Amino acid sequence: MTHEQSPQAEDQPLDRQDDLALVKAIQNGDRDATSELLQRHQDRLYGVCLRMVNDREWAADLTQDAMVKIIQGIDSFDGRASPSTWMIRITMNVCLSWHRSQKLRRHISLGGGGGIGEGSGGKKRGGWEAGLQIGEPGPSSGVQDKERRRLVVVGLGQVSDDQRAILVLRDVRSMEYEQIADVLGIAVGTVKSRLFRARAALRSAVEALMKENGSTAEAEPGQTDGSTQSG
Amino acid sequence: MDHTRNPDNQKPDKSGPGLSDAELLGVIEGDVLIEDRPRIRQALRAEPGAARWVLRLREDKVALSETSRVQAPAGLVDAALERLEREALLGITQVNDAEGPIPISSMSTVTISPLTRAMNRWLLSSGARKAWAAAAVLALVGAGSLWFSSAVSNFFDQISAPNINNPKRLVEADDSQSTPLVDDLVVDVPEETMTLAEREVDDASTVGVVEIARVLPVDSVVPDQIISLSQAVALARADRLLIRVRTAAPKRTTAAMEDMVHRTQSDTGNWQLAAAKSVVRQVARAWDGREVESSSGTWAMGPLLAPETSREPLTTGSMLFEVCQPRQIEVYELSTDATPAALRSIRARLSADAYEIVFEQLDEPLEPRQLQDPTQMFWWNQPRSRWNPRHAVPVILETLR
Repeated sequence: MTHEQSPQAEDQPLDRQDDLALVKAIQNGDRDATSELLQRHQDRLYGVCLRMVNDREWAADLTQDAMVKIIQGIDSFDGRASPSTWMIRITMNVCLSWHRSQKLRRHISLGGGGGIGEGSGGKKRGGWEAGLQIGEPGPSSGVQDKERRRLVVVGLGQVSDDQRAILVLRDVRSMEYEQIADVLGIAVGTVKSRLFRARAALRSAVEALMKENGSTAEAEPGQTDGSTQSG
Repeated sequence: MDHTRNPDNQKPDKSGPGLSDAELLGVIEGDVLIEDRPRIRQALRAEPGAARWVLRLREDKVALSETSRVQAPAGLVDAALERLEREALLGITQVNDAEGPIPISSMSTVTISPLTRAMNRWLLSSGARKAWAAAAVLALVGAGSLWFSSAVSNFFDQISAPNINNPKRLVEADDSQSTPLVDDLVVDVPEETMTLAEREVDDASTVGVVEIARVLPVDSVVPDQIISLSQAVALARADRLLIRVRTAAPKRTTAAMEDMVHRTQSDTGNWQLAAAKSVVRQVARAWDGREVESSSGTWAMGPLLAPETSREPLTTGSMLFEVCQPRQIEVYELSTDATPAALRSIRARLSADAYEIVFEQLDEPLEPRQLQDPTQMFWWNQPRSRWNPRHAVPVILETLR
């Protein structure tokens, strides 16, 4: 289930102030603040998890794990990063840990083939396309747009975890390079170079998918947006 | 890095002059500096393949950003809060994901000592699981060995003749006393409590009227000369138990016991009363006339004794003065599996028509057993009937005169 939400960049100033107040309240033992902080960020956290694993059930589980870790570690929050970035960092760590465990599990299991989200972990999970939520309203609801989103999401599952993480942080969470650098613990320059490679990898994956499916999702550039708008 | 058109897959190749990765990324991300825009625009026009490729990447970015509009499932926060509360109650605190490839620069993690960490890793390792499994198996084997040794020990205790050579007369005791081993059954009667008459009985098995002149406090009539039910069980299993049924109404008690004999099975099925065989009668004969101390005191037998014997107990204050001379009326043979339930059952049945039931210890086993084949230690290999063999117990019905 998706809902229309206005695109929101991470860490708006007002949000940050509110988050800081809530974190401080939680650190002082305010239980209501715990609920409020999690309510405020649950969609963002869930969105990160969903794009990282592209499976709703796993995403919910991982979001819950992340929430627990966030609250249990709230006393260690020292304010150097924004609460939102700090929470995203924990959530991303949870997701990457999950990916590592899934790879290990697939490596151990003789019959554990299949991609991410394909029934691993004992739960019936859909493939990458299952988490795409096609048919739900988006900003552009044209058939071509839906197909493009589907291809991008499926292609996202075919890039490496690090590349997926940086694409999710940048495109799904609209984070700045500095924030991504803070989350991933790398330099801003490294973020840029990795982001460029990640986009190229995603494009290769999408084109491979299009060849497989004979998709016509992508029109000629001039049909959608022929300009290369800058700035 | 230069990007030019690649006619096959629309990807730019790297052979010609063009834009750097950073500049291309700037185009994709929409953050090209104003002063750089004309140059970049011109370069892309010169390389339509590169321009198309950059456009695709830009479309991918847009498409991916459109998938961000999701809403968390209902109840996610509540579930997380419940889990937090549960883990807080259980004292569980998860270590934050600080050990992954992504450093948590602004978080201080829970400090775990290297020793604890190594121990935790070992406890979670496959080797630890194997060790736990091995320990569990060893524990099971150990418990089984203890049980087996105990069973074998009990078995030998049962089949071996107890080293009891002093046939002190013992009177039935309260069930609360439980000393199962035969060797522990007999408590020597202190010298000062034995009368000359008793010694005469013990030494010569004198038959006849023996006047027992004893002055004993009521509370200490037989406190340490009695055989408890559990002791009687052990004696029965050693074939050294004898039961004396004492009555002041011989006719009524005899009729009751004959009735029990004619019943094929007891209520519990673990004992049967029958007419005594010659061996049993022979054993019982030696017990005819042995004097008896009353555990219940003469006041208990008074009402029953009165009609037939007109015998009055002599009491002096709290002191009891009693003279008892038993006379056998009949001998029966009890076949039982020698369990506490069986003896408790037969005692209850006999008590209904007698005033006292006395367990006594035979000088020798009724049917001495030969040491059986060692393989018979493995009782589970024997027929089921041998798992709990039956034992014969003489039951003497006697009256006092």
